[in-house]
Order: sequence, then C-alpha cells, then structure tokens
Amino acid sequence: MRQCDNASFAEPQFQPRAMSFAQPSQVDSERRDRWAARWKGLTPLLAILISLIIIDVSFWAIVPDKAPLSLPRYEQMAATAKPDRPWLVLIGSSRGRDAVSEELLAEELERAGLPHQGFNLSIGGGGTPSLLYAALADLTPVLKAMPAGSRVIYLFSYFEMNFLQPGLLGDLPTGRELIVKAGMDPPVTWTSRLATLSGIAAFAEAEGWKAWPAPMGRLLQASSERLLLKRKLAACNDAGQHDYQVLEINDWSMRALARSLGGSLLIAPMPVGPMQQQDDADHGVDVGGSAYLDKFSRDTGVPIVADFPQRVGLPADAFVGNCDHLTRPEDKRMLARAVLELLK
Amino acid sequence: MTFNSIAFLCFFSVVLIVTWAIGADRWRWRFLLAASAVFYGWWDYRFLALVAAVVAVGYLGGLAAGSGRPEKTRSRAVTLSVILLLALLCFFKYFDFFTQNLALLMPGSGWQSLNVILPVGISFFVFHAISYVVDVRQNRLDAEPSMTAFALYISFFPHMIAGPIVRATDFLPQLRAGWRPPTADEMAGYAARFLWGMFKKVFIADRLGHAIVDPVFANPTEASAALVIIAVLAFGIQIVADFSGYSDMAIATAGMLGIRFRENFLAPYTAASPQEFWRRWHVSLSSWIRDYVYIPLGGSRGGRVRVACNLLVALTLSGLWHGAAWTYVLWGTFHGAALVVNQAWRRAGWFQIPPLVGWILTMTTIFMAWALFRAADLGQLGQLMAAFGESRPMTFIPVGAMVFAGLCTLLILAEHVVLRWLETKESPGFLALPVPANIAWGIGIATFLLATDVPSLGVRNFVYFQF
Repeated sequence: MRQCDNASFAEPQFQPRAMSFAQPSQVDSERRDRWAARWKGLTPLLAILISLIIIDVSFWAIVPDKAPLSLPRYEQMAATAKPDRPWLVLIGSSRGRDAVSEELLAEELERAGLPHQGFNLSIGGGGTPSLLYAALADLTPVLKAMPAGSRVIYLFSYFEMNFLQPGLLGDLPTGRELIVKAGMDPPVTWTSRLATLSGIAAFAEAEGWKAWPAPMGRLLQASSERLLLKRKLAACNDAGQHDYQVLEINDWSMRALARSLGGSLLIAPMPVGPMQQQDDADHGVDVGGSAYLDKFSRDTGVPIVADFPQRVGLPADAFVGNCDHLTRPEDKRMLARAVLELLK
Repeated sequence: MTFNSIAFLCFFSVVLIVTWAIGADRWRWRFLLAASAVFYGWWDYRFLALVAAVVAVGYLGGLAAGSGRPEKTRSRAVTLSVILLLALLCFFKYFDFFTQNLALLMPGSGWQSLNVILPVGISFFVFHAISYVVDVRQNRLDAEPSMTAFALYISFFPHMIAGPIVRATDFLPQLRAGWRPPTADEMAGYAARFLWGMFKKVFIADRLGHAIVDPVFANPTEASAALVIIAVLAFGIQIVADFSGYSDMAIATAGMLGIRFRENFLAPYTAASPQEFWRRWHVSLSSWIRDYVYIPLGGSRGGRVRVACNLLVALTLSGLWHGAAWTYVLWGTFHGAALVVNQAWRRAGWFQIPPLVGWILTMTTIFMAWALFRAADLGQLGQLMAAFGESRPMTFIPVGAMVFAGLCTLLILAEHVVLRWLETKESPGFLALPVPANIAWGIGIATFLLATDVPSLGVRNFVYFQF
C-alpha cells in the first residue's frame, strides 16, 4: 500500500531549517537558480513560437498574387477562340452543361450555316453560377471583348436564384470580395481574419487547401440535398421551392452580368419535366421565378425568352434523370437546335 | 472547447503560464481545478453540478471505503457508491435508449423518452470515480483526504472529456509527491507530440471523414459495394487517427502541466490476434474493463463456457459503454465473439497460425466491426450491407480522395512501425528525439497545418466525445 503523506495539501508549518543560517544573498541566489531552472523547461515552446513568427513573416514572399477569378475552361476558350468570328456562349447550370456539348454545338452551327464559334461554360453543382459569370465579366476582359455579333445565352433554372453556397464561393480567390460587395456576410475563418496580418494565413487563404481532397461529389450532393430538403422529388431543383426568394447576391450578380454583357445577353429558362413543373406550380416557383425575370428584363433590357421550353418541345420522357438532366442524344439535339433558333 | 480549437490554444497558453508561475502546490492544484471547471463549463456550465455530484459520491465513498473502517462498512460504501455512480450514468446515457426500446416492445406501456442531454465525457469521469472507490476498497490506494485533489483527479481537463481513463493509483500519488515541472527535453517532446496529435486529428481524420466516410454513410442506399468497403477501410484509419490523435494531445497537455499519463494506443493495427488488439487499442479502457468487469466476473478462471461468457459479457458492456445504441452493443458482442474464438483456438492447440495470417484475419475482423461502430443505426447498417446483394452503380471517386486515403494509411502505418520499434527499446510510447529535433518536428507540423488552412476547416468534434 502506498504511503499517503498528502504533502502537497498540508498546511505550511514553521520548521527551523539550515536555510535560516544562510546568508540572505545566498538564499536569493538559490531561489533565482531554482526559478530559472524551472522556466528553462518552457524554452522549447518559446523556440517553436519564435520560429513560427519568423516563418510567418517569410511566408509573405511566397503568397501568390490574387489572380482574377478564372476557370480553366474559360481560359481555354479565350485561348482558342478566333477573333474574326462571333461567339455563341452558353452559360448556366449543369442542365445546360450536360445537354449541349461543344461538339454538338459546332455541328449544329455548321448545319445551320451560322458563322458562330460555340462554347459552353455552364457550371455543374449549382452554387450561383450567375455570380461566377458576373465575376468573370467583371474581372477579365475576355467576355467584354467578344467579336461583334456574339451572343451569350443564359440557360436559366429558377433554382439557381437561391442555390447559394457561401462556403463554395468563399473558397474562390475573389469570392469573399464578391460576397462583401453584395452586402452579405462572408464566411469567417481563421485565415480570412488574419489574411492581412499573417503571411501563413494569406498563403492559406490564397491557396484554398481547405477543400482538399474533394469529396465524392454525387454522394455528398445527395447527402446535402437530403439534409436541406428532406424530400424525395428532384432534389436539385427543389432547392428553391421551400424558401423561394431572390437573394440579394444573386440579384446583384444578374445585374452585374447584364451591365457587363450589354445587348449580347439573352436569358432562356431551361425546360423541365412534367413532375418538376407540377411541383413548381404547387410551390409557386414558376410564378415567382418568372415574375423576377420579368422585372429583371424591364430594369435591364435583357430579353427573356419565357416560352423557350415550349419552343424546344421536348417529350415528357426526356426528363428521367435527377435534376432533369437530358441524357438521350435526340433530346440534346432538339435543345441545341432550339438554342440556335434564338440567334435568328 | 476542444483541443483542436483556437479557443483551447488560447486557454491552454494561459493555464500553462499560470501553472508554472504558481509557487505552492496546493494553489497550483486549486488553479488547475478551476481551469478544468472553466474547460468543462465552456461546453455547458449546468453540467458542472453533475460533475460535482460525481466528485461528492466518489470522495465520500472513498473515505467510507478506506482502510481502518469495519469491513462491512467498507463493502457497503463501495456498493452504494458504485450503484449511485452507475445510476447517474444510466440516467443520462441510457434512459432514453431504454424507454425507446421498451416502447417498441410494449407500445402501450406509457414509457416516454425524456430527451435527456448526454453530458460530454460522462462515461469517462464516472469510470474514474468507480475505479477510485474500488481501488480504495481493495487497498490499492489510500482514500484521498483532500477534496481538491480528488476533484482534480475526476475533472482534470486533459482527460475529462474523452480520456484516457487515468487510474487514481497513477494520478493521486503524483499530486502527493509534489509538482515536478517537465524538463526542456520533456517539454519539446510534449510540444511535438501535441502537434502530431493535432495533425492526425485535423489533417488525417477530419479530411478522411469529410471526403470519403461521411458521404457514404449519409447515403447508405446509393453507395456501391466497393464504395462501402472503401469507406469502412477509411473509417478504420479515421478513427485511429482521431482517437490516438486525441490521446496524444491529452498526454502532451497533461505532461506540459507536470502530470504524466500512461500510453493509450500501442500500434493497435499491428495486432496478430483479437486478444493482442485489445492490449493495444484504447489501453486505458480495455484494462479498465479487464480489471473492473472481466476479472470480478471470474476472468479466465473456470471452465471454457464460463470464460467465454465472461468475455462476451465484458466486451458487450464495453460496446454499450461506447453508446446507447444497438450498433455499439453488436460491435462489442462481435469483438467478444472474436475473443472467444481466439481463446478456443489457442486452447485447442491444433497449430500455431503464422503471424502474417493472424494479422490478416485480425484486421479483417477489426475492420468489419468498424462498419457496426460507424453506422448510425441498424437500419443504416442494413442499407449499407444491401449493397453487397444488389447492383448499384459505382460512384465516381475523385483521384485526389483516393491518393489522400492512401497517404493517410501510409502515415498511420509508419507511426505503427515506429511504435513497435520503440517497444523493442523498452520505451513504449512516443519517440524520444533530441530537443532540436523535436522543436524542428513541431515547427514543421505547425507550419504545414497552418499553411494548409486547417484552422479554417471548422472544429469537428472527436469521435470519442460522444461517449
């Protein structure tokens, strides 16, 4: 059995010791030595702290310049486009991205005898594509320098208007600025707080490693949609149906897009299947969405082709996949031809 | 407040400096007790009353069960204390589980869930108190006369929330012997160890969870069989990184404050048998279960059936300790069954399984059991298992995620190899490097974590916080 002396908790007792006979300076010196010996134990922590401060300062040398927002596809387009022929640029969400490939677009443009070069810059995964395009148009000269006669067609889905992902946006090099510009609170992180003070924070902020590695997209999307919506029906469209509202940031980005692209912009709602149409009607999405687009058109002068879904005339069984993505070649071709009709 | 938060780093910096600056031990322990109350109260100050109740029961139980009293009084005191402590644990942790299952069995019984909030770390601090009272009764330790010392033992913040389960026989003598500040050598080692634990938690465990494990377990009806296997393997890496990372941080935090803890993980994935796995995984819990459940039940004394029953009961209770859910019960029973088979094989003495074959069999068992552990409920588990019987499209996995999973596996394996090597040097635990090497190692990890934006990921709780 261990002896319990409880020394640490005993009341201090007076005990005449040898120390009493020592010289005061000697006592002070011993005390100082003991004190110094104790604090010496903390020197490794101090060394780590000081080294980190030095490293932090030196990190400023490798912080990359904040490059304008860019998408690899966008840069590729800018590099390959011929300046003497007008462009036809499709933008929007994954519905447009999956439905009209650039090969199909080129084929149909040639068949229709149109001189345009076709590009599809649609973005998958929601996340307010209009904002990204607005940023592109705002920050880079390429869209502004389109050859005469060029057209940007926004294949617009209502759900985009409130499918905002501030986290995703905050990951983009200029996303945070855009969020602030739109009058919203950006997601606050350690790096965003200290990005102007700390070299490491600025580096981390610019490199955006926090999203690495990318999770399994489809499963994660299904997961977040389920959490968000708790419904089974066409989840990605559904994002707007329970709390439909035109977020300020979307409105700002749509107007910025209109300003940047001027008369070359045209908006056409993407067709959706009967199930989604019914659900839209049940929740007032079609009424709210088209009312917003009408107002937007009046304010900015951007034409809206509200009857575009009817013009395409896709059969009901074209919409079998999640989010009403088109999968059959014949349906995709019908959509591509209808898009080209908008150029005439 | 968790170890991987900025708030904790600020809190700990203050606690560290004040602890070192205080001259008298009794004030140092009082200060650490107050700091532990702040740490726990940060989560929910109302449950400080629960901690106080556990301290009171344990303290008074210890005094009544102490040597010098009549045997009958001592026995009654320990029985009463253990019942009271288990009653608190059962109410907060298992009451809703019990009523929900009772309501399922007897729909008209009128039992209703009270939606009791599970106080964080309750399983750990209740187990601390139980082991203390039993140890006093069994004369392994004298009853602690100082309430401050005992309260600090129960609520010392490095071990309070998620272990390791520190024995009073290890902790209280350190207080009685007086504070011994760590040397510069030790301090450099603790700093490097804390950061390595942080790396395992926030870089390996959290990112693996986010990129692979969570999406699959959140979508059990969509994941293909291959994806389920990948996610379970990834969870095996995630949980060892998460919990051993936490243990590293706890041991280092306590060490920097002058309190030494025992090792909690001894390269568990190098085990060549289920028995060896339990000697290496969460050592503080498995030894607790062995000393306070398995041995009192009879341990390995008695016939084969009796021993097998003891193993099954001990491991099933260990599973239930992890959480009030059937998945944990099954997890514990599964491990218990593996131990029974292991023991039966050894007793049969047919032939010695080669170490490599033993390791493969053990790891297959352990990782299969992780599916039980990670599943939210039996329904989700069934949906995941259905992937092996039905055709589901293989979901695209980003190359980066797979490369990352491979990298994490290599890092954890490398750590295991080093830990096994240290065992041969008779110094199990963390690699003892020279001070400059530990400082350089710490600086490297800290710079890497900061530059890869880890603090911006948000604080994700440790897996064992829920227990």
